[in-house]
Amino acid sequence: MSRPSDLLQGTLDLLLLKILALEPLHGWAVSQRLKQVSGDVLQVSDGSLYPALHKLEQEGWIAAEWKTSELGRRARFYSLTTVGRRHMEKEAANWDRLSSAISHVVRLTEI
Amino acid sequence: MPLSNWILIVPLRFRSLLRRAQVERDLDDEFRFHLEMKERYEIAHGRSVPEARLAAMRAMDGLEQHKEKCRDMRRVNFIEHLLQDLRYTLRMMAKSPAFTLIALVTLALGIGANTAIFSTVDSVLMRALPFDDPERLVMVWEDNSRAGYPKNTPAPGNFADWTARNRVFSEMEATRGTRANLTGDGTPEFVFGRMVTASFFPVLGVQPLIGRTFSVEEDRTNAPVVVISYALWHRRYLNDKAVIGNPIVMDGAKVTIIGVMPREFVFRQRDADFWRPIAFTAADLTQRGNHFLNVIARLRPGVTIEQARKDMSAVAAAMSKEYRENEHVGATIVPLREELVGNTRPGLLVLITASGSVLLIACANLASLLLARGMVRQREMAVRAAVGAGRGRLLRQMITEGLALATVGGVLGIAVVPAGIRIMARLVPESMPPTAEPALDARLLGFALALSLVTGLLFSILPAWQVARDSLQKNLSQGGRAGMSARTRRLRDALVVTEIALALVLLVAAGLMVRTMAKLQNMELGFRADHLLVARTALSQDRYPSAAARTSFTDRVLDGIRALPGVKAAAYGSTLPFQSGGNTAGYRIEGRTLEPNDPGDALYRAGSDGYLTTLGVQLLEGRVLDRKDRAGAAPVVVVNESFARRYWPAESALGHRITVDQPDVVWRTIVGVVADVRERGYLLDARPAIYAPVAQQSLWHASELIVRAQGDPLSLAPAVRRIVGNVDPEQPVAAVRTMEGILDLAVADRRQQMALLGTFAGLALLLASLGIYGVLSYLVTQRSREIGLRMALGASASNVVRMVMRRGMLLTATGLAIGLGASWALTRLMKKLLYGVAATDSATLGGVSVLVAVVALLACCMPARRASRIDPILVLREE
Repeated sequence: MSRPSDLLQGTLDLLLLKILALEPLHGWAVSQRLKQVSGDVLQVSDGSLYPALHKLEQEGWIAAEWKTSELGRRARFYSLTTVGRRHMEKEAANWDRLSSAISHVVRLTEI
Repeated sequence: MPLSNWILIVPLRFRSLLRRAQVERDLDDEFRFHLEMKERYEIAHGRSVPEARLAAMRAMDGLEQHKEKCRDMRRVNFIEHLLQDLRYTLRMMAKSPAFTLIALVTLALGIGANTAIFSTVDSVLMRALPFDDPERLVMVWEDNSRAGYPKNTPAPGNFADWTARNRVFSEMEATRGTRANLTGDGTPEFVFGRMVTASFFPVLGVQPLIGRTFSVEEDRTNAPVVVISYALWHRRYLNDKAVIGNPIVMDGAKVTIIGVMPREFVFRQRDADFWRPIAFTAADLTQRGNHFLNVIARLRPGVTIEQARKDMSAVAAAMSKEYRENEHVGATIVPLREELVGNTRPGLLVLITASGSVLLIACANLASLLLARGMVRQREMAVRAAVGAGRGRLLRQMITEGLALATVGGVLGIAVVPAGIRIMARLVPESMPPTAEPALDARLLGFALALSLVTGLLFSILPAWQVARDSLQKNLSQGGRAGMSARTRRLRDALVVTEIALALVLLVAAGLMVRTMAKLQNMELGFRADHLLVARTALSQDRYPSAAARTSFTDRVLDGIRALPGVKAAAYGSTLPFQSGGNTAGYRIEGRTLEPNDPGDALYRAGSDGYLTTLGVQLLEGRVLDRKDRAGAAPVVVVNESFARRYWPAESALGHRITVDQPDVVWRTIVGVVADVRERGYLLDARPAIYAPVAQQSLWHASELIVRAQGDPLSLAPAVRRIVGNVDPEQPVAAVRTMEGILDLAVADRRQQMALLGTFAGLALLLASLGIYGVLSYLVTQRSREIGLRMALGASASNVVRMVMRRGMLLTATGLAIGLGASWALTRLMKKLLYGVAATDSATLGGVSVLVAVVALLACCMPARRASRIDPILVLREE
């Protein structure tokens, strides 16, 4: 079982959870929404997207359901669970702390 | 993880497990949907349909791998993979039946043998003894090292004082051996038993099967009560419960059976059939001259053995000042387990090490084989790596194969275990209780299973790691002949060298045992043990109250036996050679005071006329005892060479007089000197000894009958019984055996160890040579092109052979060097098993090295021959 670096993985998880917090989506829509919302900066490769989604499902943070899609055929829609929401909020707080600390240090060296 | 998560997750994972097919379809659908969406996206952004499709496909590069990752995330894979691996393993095993068969047989034998030996080690050395709190039971002995008896049976007077004065034991009990003739209710039977103090059974914590044991009152008054063994109850009274309260006749006196002990109850000797109160009198308890008790004690709670030793030393020191007989006598304490296990511990440990080594060598062989096969399967592994199996997956696959092989081997090995236990049975000391007998139970099965798993892991982990490494590094394009990496080759070489070293150590150990046995069996015993029939007729006090009566009996029996055809000689003795390490008596020499450090204690044997002659002891001076030496005639003795030389080194001992401690002081003339006899067995030295005519003394009765036969001694047994029956129909004849049988018994366990060790060593050598063969064989196959090239360029067949042989002998030499070093260091651990041979005996080391070298040479021969037969044209054309 190969894992991308933990920091990256954790961040990806947070992003996906956040996207799904807004509304239930299928995999394709999640990657498109992420791209859109971040102004094309954050693009998830298809190879990383689904393993991450399945892992989130395995951990119980998102739940999956087969629903009819805009194409007419069915697709697997993911939605955030209560525990997932709790986890997301915790991770978001961690991220805030981490990113402001990094920004702080990065700005320091500019003097 | 909080509980709420679990509630969600468990059904999820369960679903994944059970509806695997469904999950697969779902994954498929999900990815298909994604592809479609991607296509539409590309089309919407201006690509043509086929281009869009291609773009989408490319973006989903490695679809299988992504799916695999998703499956991994679901973590249900472990079980699925395991099942997959097992199925695959079975297919692979079926495809190479030869390898599978060899592997299974090797594993079955290895695991089975180790389990059998472990069972014995476990029951003898590890399992709890069937007594209450057995670790707090000890035996206490007198320590008279000065006289050469560091562990002497205590005298009653000392027992009494110890009991009164010690502060470390909560209880102290004494027992002594005894025997009796059972008559009256059936055939007369001679039985051994013990006389015990009242709390003997309680101190051990054993309850009788039926009835009860003695009370203190009964011990004090020497009540006519007896407790009998299960064996006696079974064979003489047929498990009839009504015997309780019934009187039986022992040595002519009526005693009542009050209890029967359980079948498993054994304390230090297997043949005790009854227990009677020891009934010490006040006079007994002050007697310190005769030593014959066994003393068992229980440590007080919280007292350690060290504290007990200190306390008893102090007590003994005080006593040595108060009593003349105790002048140099101390006390020594031995934990009960050590007492029972005796000196079997080193032997058992050596054996389990040996069998473990054989298993290790087998594992090394299998690992080497798997490494080689791994090369062949590299393609397969590379493909697996390409479709997404990570290193972990590959490792799991190969380890599962190994574990499966080992487990099946282990299950087969269990079939071998009962036979193995029977073989090991002789190595369980006689003194251990029957519950200690190893048997195939849940505990042992658990051990076998655990051993199988460990074995499987051991031999598959190295090849698995190596093959996974190699496969992941190679790309598929290399095609066909992926050779063995240098590291793998080195690994195989290292394995072979280790095997040879281990095999050498085992062979050295076995060789040392063989030499020990040879030394023991070629030992000069001082008497002739061949063709000697041995039996016992113990005369009971009530029917033979006087010495005259006993002499009359023995005379008539001997006359009758000597008249038989096929009998060369016959006699009676008190203690035969190899029957005891002691049985001594104090003596004084007329006109001489003994040196202060001379204990004045010699081996004492009483015999009828012709005793020494029948034994075949060599006469050095004077004469042996004959018929004339009777009560009323001049008192005489014969002494052995050690005795004579100690006191009369420059002159003849004949004519001097000694007295042997007895109620009456009688000066006896030495009329003969005989060569030393190894009375005390193989391992103990000969000592000064005195041989007295039984009719002229009252210290000992002579109950051991010996008959020197023309032919097979046992063939005389029926005639001997008949003659004894003619003289006294009520007299039991017991313990009919041959002298050679007694000697055999003395070395039976050693012989067993030697046989087992030899078998293991032989197996080890076989496996190691197979290892060399395997490595060289592979080498030749792999380098056949190179060899062909060399031959085409002018190398002769003998050059090629030399090359292969050199390789093989280099490996062997390295293994030998390491093995010799290891032997040097390790065999000193088995010193206790050896006799007359040093642990680093150079003859053994040299001989074994030559053997290994020769066998290795033979193993190299076939691959070498095959190399020389390589046709360069065929090989070079193969590209």
